[in-house]
Amino acid sequence: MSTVTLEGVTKAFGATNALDDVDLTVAGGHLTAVLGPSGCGKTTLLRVVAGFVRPDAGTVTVGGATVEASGTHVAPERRGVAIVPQEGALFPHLDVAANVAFGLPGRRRDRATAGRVAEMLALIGLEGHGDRRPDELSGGQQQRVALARALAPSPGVVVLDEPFSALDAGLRAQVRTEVRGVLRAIGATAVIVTHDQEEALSMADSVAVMDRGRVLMHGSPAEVYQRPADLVVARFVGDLVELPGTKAGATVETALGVLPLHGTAEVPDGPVLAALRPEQIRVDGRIERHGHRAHVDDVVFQGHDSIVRLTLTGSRPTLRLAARSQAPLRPGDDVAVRVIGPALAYPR
Amino acid sequence: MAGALLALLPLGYLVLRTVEAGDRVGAILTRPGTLELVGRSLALVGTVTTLCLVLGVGLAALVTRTTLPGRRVLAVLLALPLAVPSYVAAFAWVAAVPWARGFVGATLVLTACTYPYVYLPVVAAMRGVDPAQEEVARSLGRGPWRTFLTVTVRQVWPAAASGGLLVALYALSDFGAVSLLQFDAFTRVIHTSYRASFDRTPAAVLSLLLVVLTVLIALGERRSRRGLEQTRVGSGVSRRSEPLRLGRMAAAAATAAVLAVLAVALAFPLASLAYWFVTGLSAGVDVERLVTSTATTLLLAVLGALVTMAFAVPIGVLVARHRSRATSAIELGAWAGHALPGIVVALALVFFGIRVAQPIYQRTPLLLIAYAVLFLPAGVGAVRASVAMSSPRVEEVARSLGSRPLDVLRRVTLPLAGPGVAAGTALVLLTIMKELPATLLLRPTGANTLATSLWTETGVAAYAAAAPYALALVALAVVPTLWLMHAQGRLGESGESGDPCEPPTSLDQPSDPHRRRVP
Repeated sequence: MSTVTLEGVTKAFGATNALDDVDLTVAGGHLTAVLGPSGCGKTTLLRVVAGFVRPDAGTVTVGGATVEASGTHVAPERRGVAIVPQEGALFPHLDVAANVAFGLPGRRRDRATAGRVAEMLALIGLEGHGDRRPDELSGGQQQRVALARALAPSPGVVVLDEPFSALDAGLRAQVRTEVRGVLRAIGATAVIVTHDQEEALSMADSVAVMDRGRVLMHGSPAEVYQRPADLVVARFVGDLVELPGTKAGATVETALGVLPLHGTAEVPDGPVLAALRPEQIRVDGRIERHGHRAHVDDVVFQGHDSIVRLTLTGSRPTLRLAARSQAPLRPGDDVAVRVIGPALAYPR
Repeated sequence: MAGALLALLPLGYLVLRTVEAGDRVGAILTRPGTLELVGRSLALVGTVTTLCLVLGVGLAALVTRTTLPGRRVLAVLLALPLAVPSYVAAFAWVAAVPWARGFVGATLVLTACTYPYVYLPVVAAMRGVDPAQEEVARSLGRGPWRTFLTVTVRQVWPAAASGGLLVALYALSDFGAVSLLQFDAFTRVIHTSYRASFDRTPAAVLSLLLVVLTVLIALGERRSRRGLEQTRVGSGVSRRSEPLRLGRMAAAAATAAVLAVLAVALAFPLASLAYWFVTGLSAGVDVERLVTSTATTLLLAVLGALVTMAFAVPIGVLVARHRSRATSAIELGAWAGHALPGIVVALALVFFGIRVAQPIYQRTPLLLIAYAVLFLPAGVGAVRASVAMSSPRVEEVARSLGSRPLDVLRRVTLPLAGPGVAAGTALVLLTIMKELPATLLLRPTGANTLATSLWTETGVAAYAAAAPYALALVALAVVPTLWLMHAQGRLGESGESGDPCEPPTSLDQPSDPHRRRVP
């Protein structure tokens, strides 16, 4: 149950700031996702924690011990931070059991080692696969072995670098759930780096959103999705409907009517950008009902529902919306739209 | 560090000699004979390299991209002339066809012996190249021939060019073949000048001129590849391309061409050796000398390979994993040996031995040093390429699991690089067995290898007496050659599922510093 803290961590590669004065605390036993677009510095952050990149400034502590500070650099092998790289990086010359046993102190054949290996293989659901070679495993199995290898020596912290990006979509959700279960069972502190918001929101206890080397927001998945700290975070963690409007107290007046607001203190009254999630826009095919009229431009069928692209009728300048709907709509239909739930407001 | 310094030793010595000579350098360089010599050598190098490029690329395309009958077997046979040392081939031709001397003979023999240097990397490159580019060219309206010339050849050019460089360096530095064929190339003149008088300055000055030529050729090759290095854009495993169907006439013509090459490069030399061997049987074979020569060859090759790899492994790991100014300098130093023809290294070490290292002069250690200088680049290239093939992430995982850097080297890096290190050792073993000039000048007093015994006998036109040594040498050299081709094939396969960007092993090295030393 090691807590990881970063304070003022800065790292530049040439002219680019990979990490720009990053502060982050990862609570012991929690699974924290670091979410950001590619090139935002999230992998560098992970490699700083693991000890493969020395920051230009700042301090890092793992389980209370300072591992990185000016003049201090604890070698990666003495940090108790195990890494699960992209695509697993299993040792290709060792079988599955030897891979899992790699970080254990005893010899391969020792009873304690063999017992621990069997235990880990059972945990990841690969009992009896100990003598397989890595290239005989599927991508998902390799990923799980990589996790078992990292967890076998009971490290205080596990860091995972985009561990599911190499898996295809169907497998990804399944392995994700399994990995989360394993991490929970062990109670290890875990940091997972990803650019997939769905992955971050569904797996993690807390999500840190990064952009251009800075941590923009760190909170629970629900906070990050429903109450994003700024427009950049709001746009990154999900689809966003943006409406220009005028804020007055706890409401905002927009082309879709006067909407209640989440919170009021942060933004002064006046012109703002009101933001909604597509699932807050309700579409109704019976236009005689109350609501605002809109024209269907496009329907993207997604199975469980459809993303409907709409133009608000009579809006000037033209206002486009996105909505989620299960109604059987077609391009060209005229519909009624209304908003449910509160909106967010950001300075325009 | 020590390895790099060792490699710089001969060059330093030559420069020292030349500086000491002062005014006489100008006189030696402006002699009419010198200019003529440069012209003659360059003509040979140019002709041989051009022929090898055409042959190597053409044959590689035939065995990889067409439905040529028997192409699997032919593909292996076409690589085998690598096991025939050029002076053995030269001996076979001189002994059978007396007119095959001078420029024509040298061109013939060197082309037949060195085209595999182009052929092997191009075969690997053609197998690895993404056929999507060719398919795009065809779909945009280019015919098969234009597609081959404008797309495929461009794709494999980096591989062909580095192979061509090996050929050019071989042709420039070859000593045995040109001497036997009585063609006055650089190396032969240097050797004659060294033997003819006690004044070794002309030999040193000419050696340095040879080094300059070598460096110029290497720079030219690098220029020719600029902007052509292949990168695969996007992910996914590349598909194999559909082979071109040959019509009956085309298949017959292609088969005839391949068989003709094999006849000249492989069948004829072997037949000629066999003939002289049988002829000599009646006069009796000096079995005792044959056995001791074989044993000496093996012993020197194994010792030389061990010494070379002892330097090559740390340097290779270092340059593959830790890029810095210091490691670049070490690598550059190691490559210095690459630019030096065998006879130049040998001469430099002779000077060094006489003046500084008298106790080991004409003893085994000095010869082993020469081998290490000559073949360090081959070993470093193999180690470097195979270490670079495995992802550094794997080593980071080992660190994060508590292994110290040296443990990581022992438990992860070296086991993974194992096949590449083995291939490098095979390559060094092979080239040392075939090495002639350095062995000739630096061998321990009284010791004879197969190469030197062969040399001595052919020197007095005792072809029948020379044949057993030649046959034994070829038989010995086939073993590491096959080993090498096997290792290359295996690495090639694993390279497909792993990292497609990195060339598998020393034999097919399109990218720059992995080049091989030529004997």
